[in-house]
Amino acid sequence: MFKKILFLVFTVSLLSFAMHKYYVSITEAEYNSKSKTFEISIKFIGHDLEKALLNAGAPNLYLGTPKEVEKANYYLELYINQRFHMIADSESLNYKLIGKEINNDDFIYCFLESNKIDSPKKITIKNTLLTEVFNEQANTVYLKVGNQKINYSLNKGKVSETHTIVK
Amino acid sequence: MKKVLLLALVIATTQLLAQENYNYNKFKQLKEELATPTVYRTASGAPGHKYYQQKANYVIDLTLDDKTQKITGKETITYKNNSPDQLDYLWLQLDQNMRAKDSDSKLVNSINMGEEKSFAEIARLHNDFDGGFKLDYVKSGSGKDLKYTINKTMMRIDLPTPLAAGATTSIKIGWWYNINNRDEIGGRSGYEYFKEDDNYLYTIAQFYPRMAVYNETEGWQNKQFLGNGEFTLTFGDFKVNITVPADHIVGATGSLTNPSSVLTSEQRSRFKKAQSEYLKPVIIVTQAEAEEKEKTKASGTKTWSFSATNVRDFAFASSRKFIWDAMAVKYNGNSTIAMSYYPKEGNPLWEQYSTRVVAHTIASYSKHTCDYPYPVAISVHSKSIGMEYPMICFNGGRPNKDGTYSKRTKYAMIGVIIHEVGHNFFPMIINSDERQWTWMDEGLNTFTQYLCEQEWEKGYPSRRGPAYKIVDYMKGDKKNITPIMTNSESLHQFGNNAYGKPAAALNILRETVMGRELFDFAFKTYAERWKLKHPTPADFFRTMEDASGVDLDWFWRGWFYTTDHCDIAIENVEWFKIVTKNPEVEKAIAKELKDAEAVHIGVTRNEKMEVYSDKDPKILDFYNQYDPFKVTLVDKEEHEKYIAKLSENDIKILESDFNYYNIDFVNKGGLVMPILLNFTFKDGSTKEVRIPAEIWRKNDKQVSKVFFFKKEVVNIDMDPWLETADINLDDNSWPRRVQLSKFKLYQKKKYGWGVDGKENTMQRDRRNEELKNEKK
Repeated sequence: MFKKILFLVFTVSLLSFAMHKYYVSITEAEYNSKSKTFEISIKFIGHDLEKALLNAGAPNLYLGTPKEVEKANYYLELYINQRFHMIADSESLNYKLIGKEINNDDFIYCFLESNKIDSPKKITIKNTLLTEVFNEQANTVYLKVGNQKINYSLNKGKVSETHTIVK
Repeated sequence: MKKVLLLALVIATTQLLAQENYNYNKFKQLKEELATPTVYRTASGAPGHKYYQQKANYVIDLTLDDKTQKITGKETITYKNNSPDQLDYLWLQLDQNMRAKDSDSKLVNSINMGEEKSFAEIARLHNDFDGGFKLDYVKSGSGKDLKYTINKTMMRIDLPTPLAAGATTSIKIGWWYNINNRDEIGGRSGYEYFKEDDNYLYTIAQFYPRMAVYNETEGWQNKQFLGNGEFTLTFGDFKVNITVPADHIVGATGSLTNPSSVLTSEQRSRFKKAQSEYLKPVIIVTQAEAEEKEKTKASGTKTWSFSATNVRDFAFASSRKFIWDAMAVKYNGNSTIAMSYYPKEGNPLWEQYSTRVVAHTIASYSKHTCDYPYPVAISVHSKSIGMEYPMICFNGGRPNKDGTYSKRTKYAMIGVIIHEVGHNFFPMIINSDERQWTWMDEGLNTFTQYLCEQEWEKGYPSRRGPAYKIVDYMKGDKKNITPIMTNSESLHQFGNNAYGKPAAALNILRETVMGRELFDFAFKTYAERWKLKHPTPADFFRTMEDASGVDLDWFWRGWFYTTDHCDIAIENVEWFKIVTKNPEVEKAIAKELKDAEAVHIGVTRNEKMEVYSDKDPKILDFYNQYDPFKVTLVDKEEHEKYIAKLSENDIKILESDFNYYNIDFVNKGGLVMPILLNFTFKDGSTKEVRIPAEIWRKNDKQVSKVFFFKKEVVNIDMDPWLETADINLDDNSWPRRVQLSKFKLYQKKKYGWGVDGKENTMQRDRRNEELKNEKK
């Protein structure tokens, strides 16, 4: 017999032939051995992120405009925590959004710092950012621990990868 | 920096390449990759003396049913066979069939289930939309039924008698299809429904059976339409009559030939006024007029007639919601009319920018490519898409409901209009095969878009173009990257592959490899040679070399045929000085070096220790007192003798006091690129040295080169102006300077103003005003 797998269905306003064809996010996560935290930057395409936030139930945040809502960072942190997970040596990390940068070329950077973790030996990143809104979303990850650099790309079909850190 | 003394300068001989049984040299000419030149396409990249292209003229009568969102049409295609070949059958494209229930697009779409799906995805999966062409008839010009076979999105018509070289035939086709709701199932064309006022806005394309291209490179280009690889179309003349509700406004490819039967006299006089306005668009249908029409629905219909000459396709937009404005634009002694059609939902952005951006784009592209040959250029507002057709395109960029918009929305809107209007040049005029190569239109267009954006306002925030903007992509996982020269349907990361990377590559050619003058001439030559024709990649590659005199085979090979990236490192730097043999100079240097040597800790600690010789100095002899750094008479005499033997030129070299720097470069990324260096000297001055990529021609893994200066170098930077898309800047300087991560950079400027988006410049300015008032 086939095994039955359940999946979630949710609402997304539209999936159309969009005016840009990039659908990418770039995550750079670097382990800082002094602070013992991961320093993470995530680069989003602005209007894609906005669509995802609306879709996730956040109000219009008016990011980077005079009308930007006060709790904008709270919603961003919530969204990222829902869809970006790091597991270091079987401990699931939490992050704080320490800030963001909004550029006129429609790139939005979010900066996060994880809780403390002793130099990790195995790291799993599960990244489903924006994949609920865009089928073609590609989430590139650049991971750096010590001198070791690892990069890979995740998407709707492949949401996570695990890597061992060699000393 | 390491200081090394040597007796004579040794010129390093270039390392011999490792023995291989095949030529893997990165500068190997592209003879095996590019098609063999023919009488149709020359080795210089120009059309050959026997170049030909087919011609397809269309007369179409069309009805748009606003109640059922249905298109019904009939057409007569007159097809001229300009090829030297006899054609037994014709191939036509039925693009709408991609939406048919049994479409291959759905079958080959390899989306897996995963943990979550949207309702829209599930709805698409179940696909209850009855799309695709429903053909009523296919007849010959004389009205006889023709035998035809439909293969998904392509249709073959078997001719009763073969079409001889130079002969013409005509076909009549009748059809209808359901228009797709773009919000629900997407699409390049379709309709948007506005619930608030119960109205539709139609942007219609691929609405008629179209002739496929027949030529000497592809035969019939009848590759199925799966969704990504766009269109390959034959040039021809169009006469199209579009019947729509009487209160609709229609914008379309071509000139309106019956204005008196569809426009009011007021509208006609406004339109006339627009033909001599060059700065401020003239509003032909105002927002108030459009809003008034939204309230009712006309029962009758009107037929709008358009005619277009030498275009590859035809598209149109229709709605009673349209506001319409226009103005004229001049370029190189020619002129055209720039126009926009948009619903009130697009304002205030659209009235302010759209037509002006269209005008700027036409003038800017005409300068960089070829003169715009058509009578109108139109931008239509349609939610969140960007799609191009000859003379008309459908563009997103919608403000918030309250009329406010972010700076990003504004620039995204301007960017998409420039991009889509720019597509008039690539591929509508310079008509490459989109089904085969996305980069030939999207890449070249994204590059020209960047030039056009930068000419719109100083410091325009272009998203793509400059080399450094492609680094995030180039340094990525190679499993997820394909060479630019990959068929449109097989690309990974569509946007970066076919838009961003070729645009960056062309920018590198323009700014760094060829220089603006040589590049601009060659790029324009390509456009002029292939305007209103069908170029292939080889025609582009060859023309760029042919018109500039720069061998670019290595560049095309690296950037277009591989996924290599640029990562060049300064591996080592050695500093050399000539030995003068002058004891005054050399002994001083020797002493300096000796003094600089590290001293063992025991020696330092023993310094104050009492030793035997303190008690009895007699144990010290000549060797204890001899100063090896003292210049003796013998030293001087020997030096004089040495000098006497040298020629005047030799002495000049000896006394020149130059600093020689031997630098080792390592190519870690595979892509051979120019080496761009900036030396900083002890006195703070700098010198730029630009070495062409050919330095790698014999060894593409590592090269060494000597640089010499009067002044002493304190710092070396490679690619300091971010020209090569080098993915790792940590090893680009000497002494090494590690680049800060994006996170660290943010932490550094966190306490600056405005970076958090919490207070933007507008708010800061307002707060400044408030402070001023308080202080008064």
